[in-house]
Amino acid sequence: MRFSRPLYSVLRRSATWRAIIAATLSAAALTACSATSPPGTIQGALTGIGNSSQQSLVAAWAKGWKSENPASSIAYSPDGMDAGKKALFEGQAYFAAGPEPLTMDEASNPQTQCGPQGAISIPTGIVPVGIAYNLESVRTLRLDAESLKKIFDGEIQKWNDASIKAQNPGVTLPPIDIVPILEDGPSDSTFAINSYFAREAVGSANGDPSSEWPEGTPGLSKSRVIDRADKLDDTPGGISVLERGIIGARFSTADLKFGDVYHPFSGDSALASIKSGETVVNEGVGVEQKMDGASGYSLAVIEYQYFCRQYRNAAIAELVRSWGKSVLSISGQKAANLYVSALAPSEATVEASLGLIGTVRSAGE
Amino acid sequence: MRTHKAAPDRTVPPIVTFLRTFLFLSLVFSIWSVATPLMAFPDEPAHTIKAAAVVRGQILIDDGTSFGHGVHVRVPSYIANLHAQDCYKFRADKTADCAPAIPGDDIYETIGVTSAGSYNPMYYWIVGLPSLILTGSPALYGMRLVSALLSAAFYAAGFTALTRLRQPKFPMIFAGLAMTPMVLFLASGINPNSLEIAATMAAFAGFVVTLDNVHRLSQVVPAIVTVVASTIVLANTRQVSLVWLLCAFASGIALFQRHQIAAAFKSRLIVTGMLLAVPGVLLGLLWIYLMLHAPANAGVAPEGIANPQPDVPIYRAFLTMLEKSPEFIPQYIGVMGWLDTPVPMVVIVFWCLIFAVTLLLPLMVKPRRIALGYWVALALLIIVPALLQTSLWRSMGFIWQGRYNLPLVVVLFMSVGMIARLIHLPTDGVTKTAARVMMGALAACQILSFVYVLRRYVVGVFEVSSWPSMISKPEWQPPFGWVVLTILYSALMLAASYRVYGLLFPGSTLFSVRRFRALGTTRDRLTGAKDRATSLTQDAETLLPESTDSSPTGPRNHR
Repeated sequence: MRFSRPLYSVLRRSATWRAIIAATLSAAALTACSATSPPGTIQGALTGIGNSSQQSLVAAWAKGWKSENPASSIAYSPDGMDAGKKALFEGQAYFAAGPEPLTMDEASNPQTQCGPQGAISIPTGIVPVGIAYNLESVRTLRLDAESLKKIFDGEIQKWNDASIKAQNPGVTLPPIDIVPILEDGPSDSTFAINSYFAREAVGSANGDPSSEWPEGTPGLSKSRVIDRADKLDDTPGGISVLERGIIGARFSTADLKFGDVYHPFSGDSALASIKSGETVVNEGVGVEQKMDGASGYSLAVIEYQYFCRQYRNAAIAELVRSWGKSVLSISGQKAANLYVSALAPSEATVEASLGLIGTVRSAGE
Repeated sequence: MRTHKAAPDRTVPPIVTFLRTFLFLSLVFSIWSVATPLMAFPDEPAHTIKAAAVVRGQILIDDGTSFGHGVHVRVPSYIANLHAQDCYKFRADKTADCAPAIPGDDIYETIGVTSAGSYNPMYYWIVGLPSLILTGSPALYGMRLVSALLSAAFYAAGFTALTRLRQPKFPMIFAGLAMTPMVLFLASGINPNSLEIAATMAAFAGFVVTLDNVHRLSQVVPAIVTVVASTIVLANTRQVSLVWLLCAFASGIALFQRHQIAAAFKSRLIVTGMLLAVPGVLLGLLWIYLMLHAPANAGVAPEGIANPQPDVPIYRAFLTMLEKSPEFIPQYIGVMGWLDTPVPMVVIVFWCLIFAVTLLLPLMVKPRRIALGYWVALALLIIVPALLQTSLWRSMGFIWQGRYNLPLVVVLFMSVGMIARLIHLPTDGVTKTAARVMMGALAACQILSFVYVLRRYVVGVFEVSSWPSMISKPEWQPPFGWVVLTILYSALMLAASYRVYGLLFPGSTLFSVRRFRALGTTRDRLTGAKDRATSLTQDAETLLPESTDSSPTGPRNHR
């Protein structure tokens, strides 16, 4: 190519230059046009951190929420309740999740990224926890809190122990070892059952229930929950603490004693306990769901989600409100039941929670 | 009117060869970039979010921002929200029109989550630049095009270097064969894997050219520069990229004799090049050190979620990887999208044939010692990924994909090409016919792969053929439309086949322009066809590098 030729002549003859110009113009055309958001669109990325037992629940809710709001996305990391709260208060998450409500100190702290009005917690679902066992010849089994605690402490080691026989007249209990299969590490199910012991077992230690079994507890395993379920299936005399979604129709479960009454592990019994349970509205903290052991089975993980009352951006506040409403909606709760076998909070709880979600605002609103 | 081009002049400046190759590859990669829906490349959202964060000054990981699912950064909302594009992910029956538009006015700063938080920022800083001046989908296309140009530059440098081998024909052919549909696809998205493959290819090419010309190094300074640049880039791409570089060097060294290697490392030019690379490598090592001491995760996901098989012993993880090695071959050839769109079986079969020939060819060359570089490359391809995956087993489970090995696959192919220099290629009619068929089949496979992947996004892939729907009822269209992109891509692939054939048989052409005259029934059709063919031939010839093999009969057999 000689530079003395007129430019037009050069371009006309040089395919290379034509290709360069065409490519440049195409790139410019490609990068020039940009869509704008239709008014009223709920869009954006929602980020949450919380307990592992809500990971499946969040996935179930996300399905419905995203179908209603296709221009949105959600990222949830099961790093634990404490990590979630810290992330929410430091502005590293827009919601958090855990198995208990916020305390007054946590909710009212004005020094966090949630602004001067602090944070709220609302119940989002209830996951019943059952005591599954593997005794081929025993179809019904009753256990009270003291016996169950002694089984997991290793004090009661045989199924035909006197204290178990006393609760199950007419049932032939085999003289075989009780083999606990328990989760090693922090777990919401463990927290739930330790809470049950704290309420119901005479002589339980004082203090907050722990989410972990004490060191030395027999039968601890770091396996996945489905592996522990398989192990229970393969272990005559085995006993384990499992959530409703894992138990399904696969295992026999013990009737547990709440107060003076034994209740079976069933959806209906748990629902009765929820319906009769109190809805507590703590001003400045949020809503709390109680379960009534007198009316039904009340060993469960009550899942909560935590939100700021105020976000720095209207779009984020709208995203959060939209999420909260979707989680508490009938379709959201149906999805939680379908995918995770979780039960909905009571109607009064849902109504109070929806009211609170509606108060979430941005700094400018 | 010319019917064929004469053997190219050896004195074509490397910069001209580089620019032409760069332009050609840029066009190929750009077409893939435009044809593929946004965020349809594997892990593209995470890398795009990282790029937008890095270019906004978020380079290191701050305390309290690292969680189980990734690092939290602050980016414009339209970028943080890129995971909303995942409606068609893992679902080949879903078209890309289910993904929402990416608005340009959704720019408030919000939390973005990236799993690439600990990656070296160099690649991301370059790729993230368009997001500073554009927003919405234009910004994302801009970032893709920058990434594609980066890959094109290194591939072009590699091919340019190869032209300076004493017998470049077969190394260039095999380097071209290594450019499977998967390699072309990956070069077009936002993912440092693309640069990793390109830079490893360039590093190996420059390295073997340097050793091949050890007694006239002043004539291959561009190749030395290519090695230095590739080394610096690989040291600053991913932590594993340095491993690929070492593997490339080991394979290259095994291809040459001790005295050649010794002479190379005594050369002032080589030593200068090494010294120039040192600061870049140290920078990369510094980054690795910083990430090993980065703030811990704010929380820890429980066992069983982090690794679904925590009880499996390490040695079984290693054996599992060895066992799975052949299963990666389809992924080397073409499993596009989020591993949900394999290329047609005929393409897989054809390229498996190429793999078989590539793996068996060195066994036919004597003396056997010549093939040492091939054996080293093959052993490294099988063993190194197995070791790397094993080291990650406890923390992450089995996460390995075939595309991670592609740098070593490219090195393997080029090693075979180097050995194949000893083979004499006959120039009789039968050989030329066979070569024409192969070149045509190669072009057809590349075009078929391209349009097949387009179909997946335009109408979806079902049990029943959906090809007619592409014409009658396309549900999604890429920018410029799938028809235009397919025509452009086809022209480029035919041009490449034309050029490769000319490389194999200097003085011959893949197809004769005269034959076009015999087609058609009217003078006007003939004239029009002739003009288009001539134009295509001329355009094709000017887009690609010229072969420096001036021998009309090919190299002599060195047995």
